[in-house]
Amino acid sequence: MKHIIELKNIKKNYLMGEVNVKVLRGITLNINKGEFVVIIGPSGSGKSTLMNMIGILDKPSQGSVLLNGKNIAHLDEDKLAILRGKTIGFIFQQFNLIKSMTALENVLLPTLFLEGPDRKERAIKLLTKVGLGDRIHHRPTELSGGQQQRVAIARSLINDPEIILADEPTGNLDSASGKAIMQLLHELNQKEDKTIVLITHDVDLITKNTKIVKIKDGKLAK
Amino acid sequence: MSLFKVAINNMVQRRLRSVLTLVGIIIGIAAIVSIITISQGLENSIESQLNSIGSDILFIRAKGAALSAGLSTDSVLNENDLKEVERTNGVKEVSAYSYNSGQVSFNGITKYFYAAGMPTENDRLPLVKRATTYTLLKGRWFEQGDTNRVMLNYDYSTTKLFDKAVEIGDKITVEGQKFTVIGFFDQIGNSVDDSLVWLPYETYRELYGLGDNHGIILASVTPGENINVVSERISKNLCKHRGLEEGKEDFEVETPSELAAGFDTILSIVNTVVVGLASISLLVGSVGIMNTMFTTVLQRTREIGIMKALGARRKNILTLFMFESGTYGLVGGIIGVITGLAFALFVEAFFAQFLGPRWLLIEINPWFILGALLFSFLLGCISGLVPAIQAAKMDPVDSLRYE
Repeated sequence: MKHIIELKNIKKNYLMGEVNVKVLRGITLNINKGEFVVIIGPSGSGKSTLMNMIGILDKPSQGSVLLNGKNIAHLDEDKLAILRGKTIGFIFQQFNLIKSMTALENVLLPTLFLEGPDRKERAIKLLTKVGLGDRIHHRPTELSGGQQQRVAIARSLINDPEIILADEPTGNLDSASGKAIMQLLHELNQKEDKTIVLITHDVDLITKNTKIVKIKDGKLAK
Repeated sequence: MSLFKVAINNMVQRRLRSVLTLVGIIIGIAAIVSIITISQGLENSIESQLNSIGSDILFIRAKGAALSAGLSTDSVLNENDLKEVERTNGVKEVSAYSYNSGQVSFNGITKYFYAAGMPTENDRLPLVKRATTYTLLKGRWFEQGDTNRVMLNYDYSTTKLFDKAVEIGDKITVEGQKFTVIGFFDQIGNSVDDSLVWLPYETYRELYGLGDNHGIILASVTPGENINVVSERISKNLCKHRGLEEGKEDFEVETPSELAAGFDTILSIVNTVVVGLASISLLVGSVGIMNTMFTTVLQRTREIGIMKALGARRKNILTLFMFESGTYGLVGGIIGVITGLAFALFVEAFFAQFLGPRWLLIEINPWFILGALLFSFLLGCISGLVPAIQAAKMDPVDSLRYE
């Protein structure tokens, strides 16, 4: 099977003052196309840093990250941004919608950075699909947490990426909303063959059909 | 949706800050637009008046005698000087007139205006007609042999000077002597000209005890001669005639273009000063925009991080913030231009009300307006450049984490 993401023995160090903190201590991980991967670990385990590596928001100190077999080490910031915009859809714990924009405008935001056709119709379709067809002109402050996260999911899909990277997507939601969001992610995985990478500390999110990766102290745990 | 709309959105969200940011730019642009429009209007007005005088007439007067027509100064010009001017090579016609303050009574009321003497001889009247640029409103001009007749300027035909408008055939008293009104001149646009009383020159001389002195000698130049060369010759001849060393003239020979040059110098000094002050305001406005943009960039660090995670390149972020600061400049420019033009038109109306209609001829130049708007947009862009670069350079991971 083809690896869509390959992490080869990656290490990441940060300089905090004069102390060199080793956040990732050599992680090797392959993710296949169409997989639903749950990366699970306690806070401080290096989860977020790992997410930055998978989401090509940052480069490792050592080791290499391959996206569709291509090493990203030689790409500059702008090339990474283009690749990220096309390939990866982000879902965050804080939703990270732009407050001054309507739901529709938020969904369209990633299209502003890529050349291409007008995606307004697609955006409306996506909002309808996540159950917000009647809320497209509402601003984030006029939406509930669950609704905001649905807008974020619609946004993550606008450029039709292969990978959805979700960082604690249910962390700020009540359990009913959280369940609905997880339902949506599973549907995207099964019906549209999206590769889902979910990062969480919540063991309740582990279900069947998922590949579990445990991380602890910057290393994969068995 | 476009990045431009995103930028506008952000500005509308923070209306008060946006308005405060614009104040400096508005004042600067308004000051520049109004002063340049007004001074262009003054130049238009001067030009149109000088054009109507004709560019072939020289004005010769005793030094320092602009208003008192040579009567209160030591040096005076007389008929002999006029003959000397007439003899000068390149001079076609000569004439002369005088003016002085005068007591004018009508309808039982006495006031003080300027009274002037106009030659009635056929060989001297036409040149004065041309030099004054007056046009007849009603009645008739002086004719050879007129004595107890008077011609009045525009304001006498209204109720502005006396309770009652003066009519043709009315009697009016000047310096204690009665005259019959024979004609009125059309409006000139300044209150000195428009309240003048014109007497036949001979009568005026007797009334003021002028002898054979003249206030102003006029000379027209033979077609084909250079007016400046003729002016030099007159100056030289008069010096010799009056027994003066060259360079120590007690008289002045002025050409219409010299009169204009005097005005232009004053205008350009005023322009420079105002534009200088306005530049300070623009600088303050520019710093204001820069400050607002730094604040905006800091407050929206997280948004910048989100956009970068969603695929925004440095170029996109730079464009977004440059658009925003450029729009600040443009909006400031639009308000400034409107304010500046409104002020210029107000001044024009004010001048027309108190001084007369021809003092200020405002013309709105669309290219100048367009230039001012382009300039303010670019000023906004430049002011926002450094904050925008700062935003574009932000690290996506750090800015996403920013609270």
